[in-house]
Amino acid sequence: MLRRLAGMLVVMFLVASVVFVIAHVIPGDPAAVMLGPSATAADVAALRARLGLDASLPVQYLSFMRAAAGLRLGQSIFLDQSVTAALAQRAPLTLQLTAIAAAIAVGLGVPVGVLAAVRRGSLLDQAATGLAMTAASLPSFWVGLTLIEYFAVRWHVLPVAGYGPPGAGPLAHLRYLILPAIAVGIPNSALIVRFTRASMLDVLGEDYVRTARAKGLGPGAVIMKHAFRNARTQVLTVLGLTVAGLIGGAIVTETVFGLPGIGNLVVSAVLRRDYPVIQGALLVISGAYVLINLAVDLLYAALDPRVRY
Amino acid sequence: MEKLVSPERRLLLAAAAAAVMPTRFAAAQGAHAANIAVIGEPGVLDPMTTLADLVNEIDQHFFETLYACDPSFHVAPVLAAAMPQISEDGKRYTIPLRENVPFHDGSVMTADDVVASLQRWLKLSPRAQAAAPSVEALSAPDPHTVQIALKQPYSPLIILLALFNGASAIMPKAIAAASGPLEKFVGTGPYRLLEHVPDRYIRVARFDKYASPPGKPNGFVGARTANVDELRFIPVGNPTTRADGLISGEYHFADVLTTESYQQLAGKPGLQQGTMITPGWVLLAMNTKAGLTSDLRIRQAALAAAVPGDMLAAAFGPPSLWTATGSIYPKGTDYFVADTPGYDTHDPAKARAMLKAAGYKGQPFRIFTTTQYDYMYKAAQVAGANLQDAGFTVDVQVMDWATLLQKRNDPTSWEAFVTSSPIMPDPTFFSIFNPNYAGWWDTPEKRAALENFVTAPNTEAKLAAWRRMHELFYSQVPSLLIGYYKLLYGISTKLQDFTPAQPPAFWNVSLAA
Repeated sequence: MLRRLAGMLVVMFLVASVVFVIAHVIPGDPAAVMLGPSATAADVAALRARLGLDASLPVQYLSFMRAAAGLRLGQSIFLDQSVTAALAQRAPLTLQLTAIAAAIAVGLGVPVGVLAAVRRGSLLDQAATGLAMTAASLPSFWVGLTLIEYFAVRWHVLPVAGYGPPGAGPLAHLRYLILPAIAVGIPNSALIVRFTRASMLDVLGEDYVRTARAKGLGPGAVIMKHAFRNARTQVLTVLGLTVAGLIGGAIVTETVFGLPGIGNLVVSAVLRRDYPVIQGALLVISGAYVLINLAVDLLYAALDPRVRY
Repeated sequence: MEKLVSPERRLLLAAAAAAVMPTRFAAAQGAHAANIAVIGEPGVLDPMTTLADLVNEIDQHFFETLYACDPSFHVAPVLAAAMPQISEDGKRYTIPLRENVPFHDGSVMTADDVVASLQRWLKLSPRAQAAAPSVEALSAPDPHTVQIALKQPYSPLIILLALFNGASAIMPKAIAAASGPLEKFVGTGPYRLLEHVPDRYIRVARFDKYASPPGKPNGFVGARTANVDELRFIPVGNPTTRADGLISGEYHFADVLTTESYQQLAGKPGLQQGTMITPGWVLLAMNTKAGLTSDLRIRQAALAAAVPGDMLAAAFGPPSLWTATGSIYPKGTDYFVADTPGYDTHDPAKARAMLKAAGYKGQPFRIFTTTQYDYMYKAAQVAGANLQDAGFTVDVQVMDWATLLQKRNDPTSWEAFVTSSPIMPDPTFFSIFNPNYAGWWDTPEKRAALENFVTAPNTEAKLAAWRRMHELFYSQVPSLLIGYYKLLYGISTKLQDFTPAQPPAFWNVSLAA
């Protein structure tokens, strides 16, 4: 376990270094973006100096790593707030969106996958597999724009974009998350359908399942208690990947739906070359990936007594 | 039956019903507030340090300047009580101030506040850097008068004070004189800043003690009244989503629409399509400093090869949304010039002859452009095709906007890039006349013409100097003016009395229930 935690720290150090290099190697200048197209090189240089962007890269790198080690992510160049505050303000939305999308993906993916495996070769199986293929092929921005067109623009059932008016309560916020969560959840459920189906098919062919049936257990008990119980570790793997992928998928979806979450923040920060925000957000997202992986590993051990760390 | 609908299920059903309740209910609750969908998050709201249109659009509701322009670019007082008295040698401006103008913090504006604000502006505003070398001193001879002493005459001064872009916004002395980033946004405007939640909204509320300038409203001049309790500027980056939000009734105004999103609104009940009074223009800026286009004959060949109508049609769609005109100012303004020799001649044979005379050997004509602004990308593609038809070897390089803004500062890496600008109230505010702006147009003739314009003692001399500058723009071809495009917006019929000025202002509008 200690070795795993030490490994995590090494990964985070490498991620921080790579993120810094990528953010600074790509051309572009936050001062030029802030000043707009009519600014001259002299205007840009003056603003760079005011923002402290004229320090050498090694100096900026050391200062960033020192601050990151103390969990300080610096001050946004563009927003009037610290990176930590910017992330903290936006994280709840992204977490809620991820949770709802994951619930949709799992709630749809697991039962359909199990049913498709149990009724292998039936019309239901073929329909589920075909729909899963189609859903997996749909880009989430297209799904998002289509949902907006019908549910918001034509039928006025749900809002188009944003996160609700000032002072909106949790329920009002929830309304703004339904369409984006569907847009991210549906394509991700397809992966879960396919993995659940494949894992269940593996397990359903095992001897102990035949034994369970032979001793007179009902189909529900055989499928859920014996088969799915053993298939779930593989499903858990894909679930971990899906949740991590949902955080990445939020980048596109939040942009389409104008949701002020971390994904939207990253896109804006990249376009504006807001280095501290790019670095801070990518570090936090990478940290989330690493933690999700760790959580999945720990859950393996909890679900399968054969796994020990 | 009772079992089937348990309390938990009831709660869930109620939550689900509330979640899908029609959105118009939410809109009705906020009827006292106008929702304005803007193009993105403006970031820092300091009105002086940025030239970004989005910041100006929002800031002008809570900050004000001494003067402002009407739609014909004529200056009128806002916080000043009258036009300035200018000494005969053009070196001393005496500006009377309106009395009893309250700031949002309750204090009353005095000449000391104005002097401190103008000092901050001269120090920090990129726009003010053109004027700063000419300014000798600022003083407050009495609480209601400000004097500006100049080292040499600088005729664009008043119009520069009227420009809300890198604006000379007036704020209390304690705030203006403080060092570091602006932390308090206290102005004199009809609205006061209430709340800024980055990426979600900026709320401004009616300032009840607002002291309005007198006169009939006309663009940015005349009386200002805050009829709507609250304005909410909501960042919505995607133009299609801005239009969709307008159609669904969530927004009352959708700013800066693309041709496609604008056309989405056609025929929709309760909505109107609109275009701003003053257009913007789009330009192929050329590099006069180094490489291929430092040769005038190559630039003239590009002018002969260009087909502005094709570029504008590709970029902006139907002809009703653009005009192929070579004058830097549109018809109806003082600076309109009808004579634009070489504009829209489309003479590939002449272009080929010029290339031959220049000894052109097929070196690449590199055009920078970006897909972040669709019209720039399309205009660049057509410009490339036009030049290719005339014998140029063209290399259109596509990059993101931030990269373009940086790479264009290297004169060895490009020949041209597509850019755009709103029409400015004074020609000297156009970047293309700034010798330090990418393109680096700086010839003795241009310098002399610019000097004559800036120091012109009267309007007649100023117009003559401008005509000379315009003539040089076509004889020295520092850039190709492609033409004008209309700035598009969509508005709900509930938001009434809107004047389509750029940047859009929402004082004097009212909101129907």
